Amino acid sequence: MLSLRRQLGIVLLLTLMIPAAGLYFVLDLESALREQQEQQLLSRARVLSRHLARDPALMSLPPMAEAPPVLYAQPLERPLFLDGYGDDWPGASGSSGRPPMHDAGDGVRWNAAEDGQYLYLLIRVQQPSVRYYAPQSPRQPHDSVRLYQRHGLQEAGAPRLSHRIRTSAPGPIQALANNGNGEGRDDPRVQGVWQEFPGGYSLELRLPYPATLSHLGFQVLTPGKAGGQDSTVRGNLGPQPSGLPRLRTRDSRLSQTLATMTEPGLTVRALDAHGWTLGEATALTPPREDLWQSGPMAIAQRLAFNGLRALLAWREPPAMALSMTAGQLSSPLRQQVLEQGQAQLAVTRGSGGGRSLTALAPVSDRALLMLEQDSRTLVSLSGATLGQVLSRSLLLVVALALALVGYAGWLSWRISRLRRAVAATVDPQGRLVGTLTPGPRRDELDDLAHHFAHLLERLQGYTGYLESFARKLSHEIKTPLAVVRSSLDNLGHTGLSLQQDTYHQRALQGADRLRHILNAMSEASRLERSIESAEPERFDLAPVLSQTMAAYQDLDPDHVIEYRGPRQGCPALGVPELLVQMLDKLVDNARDFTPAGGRITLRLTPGSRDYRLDLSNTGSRLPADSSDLFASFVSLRDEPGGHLGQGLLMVRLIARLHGGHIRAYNLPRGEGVCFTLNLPYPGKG
Amino acid sequence: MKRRIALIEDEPAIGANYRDALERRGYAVALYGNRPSAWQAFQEQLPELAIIDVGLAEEVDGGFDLCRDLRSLSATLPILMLTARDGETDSVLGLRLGADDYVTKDMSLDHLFARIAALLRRADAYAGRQQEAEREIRRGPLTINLDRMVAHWHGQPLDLTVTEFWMLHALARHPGHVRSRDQLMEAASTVLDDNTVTSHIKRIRRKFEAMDGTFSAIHTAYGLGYRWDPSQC
Repeated sequence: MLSLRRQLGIVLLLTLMIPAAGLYFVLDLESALREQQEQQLLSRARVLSRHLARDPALMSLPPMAEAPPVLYAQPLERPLFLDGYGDDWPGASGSSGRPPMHDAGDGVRWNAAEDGQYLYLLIRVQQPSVRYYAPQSPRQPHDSVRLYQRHGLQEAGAPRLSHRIRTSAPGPIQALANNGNGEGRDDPRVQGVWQEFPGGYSLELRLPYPATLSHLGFQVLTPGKAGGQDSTVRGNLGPQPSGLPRLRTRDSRLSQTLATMTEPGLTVRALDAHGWTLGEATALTPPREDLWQSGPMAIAQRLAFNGLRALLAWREPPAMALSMTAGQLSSPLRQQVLEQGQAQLAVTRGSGGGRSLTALAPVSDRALLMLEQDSRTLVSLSGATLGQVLSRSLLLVVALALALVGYAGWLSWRISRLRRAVAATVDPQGRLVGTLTPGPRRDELDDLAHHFAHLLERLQGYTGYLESFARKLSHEIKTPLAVVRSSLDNLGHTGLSLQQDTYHQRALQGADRLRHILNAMSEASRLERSIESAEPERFDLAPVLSQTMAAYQDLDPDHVIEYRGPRQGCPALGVPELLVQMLDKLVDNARDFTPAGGRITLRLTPGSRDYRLDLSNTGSRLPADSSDLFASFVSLRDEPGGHLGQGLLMVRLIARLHGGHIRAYNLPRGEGVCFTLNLPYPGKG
Repeated sequence: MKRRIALIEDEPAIGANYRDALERRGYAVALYGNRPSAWQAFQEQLPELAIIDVGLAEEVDGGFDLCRDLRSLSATLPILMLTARDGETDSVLGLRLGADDYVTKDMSLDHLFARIAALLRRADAYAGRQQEAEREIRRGPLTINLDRMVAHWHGQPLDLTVTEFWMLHALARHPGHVRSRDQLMEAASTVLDDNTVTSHIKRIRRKFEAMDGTFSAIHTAYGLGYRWDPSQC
């Protein structure tokens, strides 16, 4: 049998399927939307890239194959403080406080930035030990950096300017301008700070940034190990056969063009073939509304929406790193797009840890367009209206599921309560002991409770009627019986003939039998009355039982009737006469069912909590269904003769008067029947 | 001269049968069907013995009322109650209405006659009409006068019904001998169930104990019956 609790559990699981189905719907919808969005972003990238192809800033880029190295300076929003550390550079983070650096080879790393007025250069050199310039012996080899500048777009005609940067100790540097004829003079326009760190040194430089500056390069000069004059030249940003590295910065006009292409959450970048950012425009994402100023419904909806988004994020495809390092996109995807000439899509990790959708499209063979969509706006694109609807529906479905489960729980609680209440009205021996008091009628379940109460009332009435039936019947029959009896008595004195006398005798016998039956019928009710007026006394149970059993043995030589147990010292509280009367009934009963020579044994065992009296007899067995053995008018005897079954009812009444409990059962291996009475010990006092 | 017996019984057949049987035994019987007619007759002349049915026509307890009223007229008039309901036995004896004994309606007429004879004999003894030598049994402090049908304990009279008197006599006649319930019933010319015998014995004990708190002469022989304790003699 499946209990109500389990059924409720199944209902709960089934109900959970509703939000689960809703969730699957949302997830499927989300992936469809995402796909659509990806396609949208890709086609937008294609369209914009075709549009950008005619932009002069991009058209002027040299072809990739013959392009000279580039020194890229990222734009600054505020001037930097020269201290040689670089912890105020854009993107500087982590415990070291260092900004991202580009590799120039030979253990040289660099970064550059411009604020429109100055150009900043951060150089970091890996080197076991640093040898500083010694003013007292200027010929002695020392560590230095050579800086090259070229002004004017026409490289050929423009003069080349170089500075030798050195210091005699960590701190402000000395920049010597060189016009091509040996050591020059100190140039105050180039400022900088030299700092040493374990395993190398760093250099932060600031130089004027006129619009004419078109090429910029540097070389790190490290003196030879043996102390010779020759220095090792390090880094690939010095003068090359193709010329000095070209200085590249953000093109403001290009950025303005790009700004017309953005929309909230979308970042548009134009990159050159090396991934350097030529222009960038970002539209601000819409600010989040203040949660606490909205109502509780909005908060709940917001929570549901956030939960939904977390679930969606969990379902998203894994993101790849496609980060911008100090204005340069470093990803193999860039190469792929340029070579294949086709737009590509990638899910990337954004700066805030969130995901972004990025599309890369080739503008020409020397420039790229990059569209980056913030995932937050991604979901809210679908979430702005649809997400709201979905989260609201999800909220409703969850509330509905909870309400359904609550309702089912409430119903099953009521059913269980009714079951308990009904069970409590019947004692273990099947007697009705109480009534049901149902509440007001509100629905069918209340109706059921009322029906049960009604049924119990009827049953109680019937049981009461049955129990009083014997008494009533004997009352009603006694008067006519008295008429018959007295008439017969009178008839006996009228001088009957022999034949008449025979019939007279028979009629007398019949009346006598009828009287006996009436007496037997009302015996239990008479006992009930005498129990009501019974006064319990303290007595020793053992001698009462042993004497009684001995008396039975004297009266019945056909059976072995014995008592086993203590001879004395069993104090009890009760009415010994009634207990003996109970034994009368039980032993009488046992004798009827025990074959001649059989054994009837009464055993008294003082237990831990009560006395245990076992009356067992050999021979017969109780039928399987004998639960009502102790009820009124129940007789399990087969023989005719009108056994009314009141004897064991009286046994139960007397047992109950003594606070005891009696049960009957078959002994194992067919040894007979046993009646066991548990009689509580007398209380103190 | 015929002894006058008043029979108050609302069931005509029973009344007529009892009257016939009593008249055959030589009694003069006046039969009344209800309480008022009986009461009216009693105002003029009292019978020598009254047999009253507890339930009288409409009055369920009319017999009790009549018994009480009759007792107020005469303290010595023997009154025998007739009952049909089991519950009434206790009422007759417990309410102390002044009845001298009771008979259940299904009892044989012989049992009824035995009681009537005993009650009349007792009434005669009270009235001093008995001139013969009186038969008496003495058992220690207990004296039983068989002719007067009275028992004394330490010289104090015991207020016993006829049934109780006969039971006590049966016990005390042979001290130490166990009298079974059947034997007690036979001695008391009655038919009762075991339970009622037990309550009779209990009632007899109480009447002794009311006089003498230490009384314990009637012993229970569990499973057998009762006996008079010879050590008390």
